[in-house]
Amino acid sequence: MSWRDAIVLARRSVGRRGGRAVLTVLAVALAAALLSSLLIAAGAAKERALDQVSSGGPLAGIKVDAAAPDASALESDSPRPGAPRLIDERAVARIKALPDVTSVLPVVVTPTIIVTPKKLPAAAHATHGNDQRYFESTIGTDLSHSGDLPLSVLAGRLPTEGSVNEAAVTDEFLRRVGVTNADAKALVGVELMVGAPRVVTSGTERRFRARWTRVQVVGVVSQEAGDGLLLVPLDTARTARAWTLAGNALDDLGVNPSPYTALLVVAKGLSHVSDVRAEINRVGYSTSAPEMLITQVLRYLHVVEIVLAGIGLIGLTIAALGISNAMLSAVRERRREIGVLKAVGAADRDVRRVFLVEAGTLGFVGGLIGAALGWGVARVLAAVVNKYLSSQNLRTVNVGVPFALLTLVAAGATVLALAAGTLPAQRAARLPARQAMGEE
Amino acid sequence: MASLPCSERGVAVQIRDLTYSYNTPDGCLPVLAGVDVDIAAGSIVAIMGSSGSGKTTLLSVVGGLDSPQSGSVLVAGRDLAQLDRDELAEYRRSIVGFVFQDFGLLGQLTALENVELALTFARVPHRRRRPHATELLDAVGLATRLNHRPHALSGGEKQRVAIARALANGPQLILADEPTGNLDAASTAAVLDLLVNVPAQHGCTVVVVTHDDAVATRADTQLHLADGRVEHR
Repeated sequence: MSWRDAIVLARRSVGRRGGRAVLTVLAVALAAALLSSLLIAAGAAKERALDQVSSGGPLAGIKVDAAAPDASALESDSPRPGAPRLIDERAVARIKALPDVTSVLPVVVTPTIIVTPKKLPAAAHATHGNDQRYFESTIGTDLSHSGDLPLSVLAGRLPTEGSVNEAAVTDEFLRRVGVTNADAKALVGVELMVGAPRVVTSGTERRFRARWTRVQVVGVVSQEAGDGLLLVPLDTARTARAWTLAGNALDDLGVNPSPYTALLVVAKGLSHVSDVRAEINRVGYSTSAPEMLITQVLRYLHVVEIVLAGIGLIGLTIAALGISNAMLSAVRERRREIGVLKAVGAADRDVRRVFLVEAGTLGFVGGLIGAALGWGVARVLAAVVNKYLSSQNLRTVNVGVPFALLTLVAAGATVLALAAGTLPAQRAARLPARQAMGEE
Repeated sequence: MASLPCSERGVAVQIRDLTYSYNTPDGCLPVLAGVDVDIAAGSIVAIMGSSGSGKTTLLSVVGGLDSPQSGSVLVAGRDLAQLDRDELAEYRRSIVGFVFQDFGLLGQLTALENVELALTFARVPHRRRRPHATELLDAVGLATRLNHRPHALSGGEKQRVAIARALANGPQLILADEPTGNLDAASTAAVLDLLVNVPAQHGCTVVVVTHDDAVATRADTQLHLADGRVEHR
């Protein structure tokens, strides 16, 4: 008997005992739903936690400061930087050439004067009735590689690469103007006046000038690329900085003389971060990366995943025992049918195959329904959790469609059902033909 | 398959000193105690006897549903006592066709699919099963009942489906256990006509276990089981 014939016969047999099949499938579906919803929730929580730890950037991200490494604090995630040291093009090229380095993105931080409009839009908690001036910094970096940057977009979008009058404000800006994360989108579209300052001294005369640009806020970001209130494309920041550097009283503005304020380096993987950091230290720069924190968080999250998967698997095992019980009952009830199959020529393996396919069908259908149900439950849970997170001004979690996980759950339920059906199938196969016919 | 006169086909079944007993709470219960029978190929043999005389046991052993406890049963050159489980399955598949009193049809399958089932186990290619099963059902007068499930068929129709299924793999031996036991007179006559014509049309031997003298009188040979032995009549 081919597998195809066994599937046809098993499908008919399952359909004939619809009530029992539905109950068995339901048990498997509930267990699979429990397992998949727990794993999806754990996955979303893991993603959220790692996103928080890595500030939205890659897990293997490393920040290189314009400073020499402090030999006494090399083993720390955020060591105290040593003496200032310029990051120039040569240093960038050397770091790019290091083994296991995927990308190197320069960061330029330049002094900026930001003037907010007299009335910010109806940002619920905005406290500003009059225009405010902030003498702060603007961060410039390569926004075309946003995936390699330690930033998360809270509202709107990132400035277009090459644009000179688009900017994203940082979460620090939100705090300054008294707007919560939940209301961040209210700032999108606001126009700011942004000035690049320059101080020129001549004898005892000290003149302060600024080159002003009208900038539109296109997004709000949470970021760890540098200290500043605005995020703009790298060239925009470099142009502003060049204007500022043309002055001759840089100390008055607190301008870092390094061509690049920092570098954002991405290693090939979390396991390479330590080696890459050591190499960069040898090149002569201080680095920081949350590698130890991420490793610890991953370890704890893995334990949580194991515990949740264990709970789900216990449920699935109970459902599998249900399948086993249902199949054993079916073997008892269908002895005559088994006898007829043997009388018309079924070998033991044919009978075994029919019962195994029946068990597998129950597991597969239950697993499939359960996986879909679990995804739905996870979505509902995520909606409830997100409502709470939003009320607390925290970033929300995202539950996608984890096809691999759902497929794995459905496949796991099928395999478990096959295992549960093995004993009944074997019992049916070994039933003596005449005994099966009910003739003792 | 072309049919041959019984005399030219020789012996289809040879049973020698066959014994069979059951273990019961009251001890060993012998049912067959040294049965010796030769059944001519192409013949119709009726086995009669009182209830518990061992008729069905004898049929089960000859049909390969059970193994002889001692003695020998030779069918189509095979000594059934020497066959293992797989060989017995192959024997049931290719040499024997069963017809049961309760028809033995699977309720979840149509008449056509019940006949195809026997072809399925014989590994007949899918494309050949349906035409062959249709032909067999047509031959037993059920061309209009192909897609009916057993619950939608009368007793006589169910038994005709069972006969078609028994003939599906071209067996050498048809074993019928009280084939008319659950049928009314008209259906009994129709089923008997079919069975009686099987040797001529399909070239196989028919062994019928029955209580019914009307059935037995249609057989070429009548065997009577009593006290675990066979008496020829």
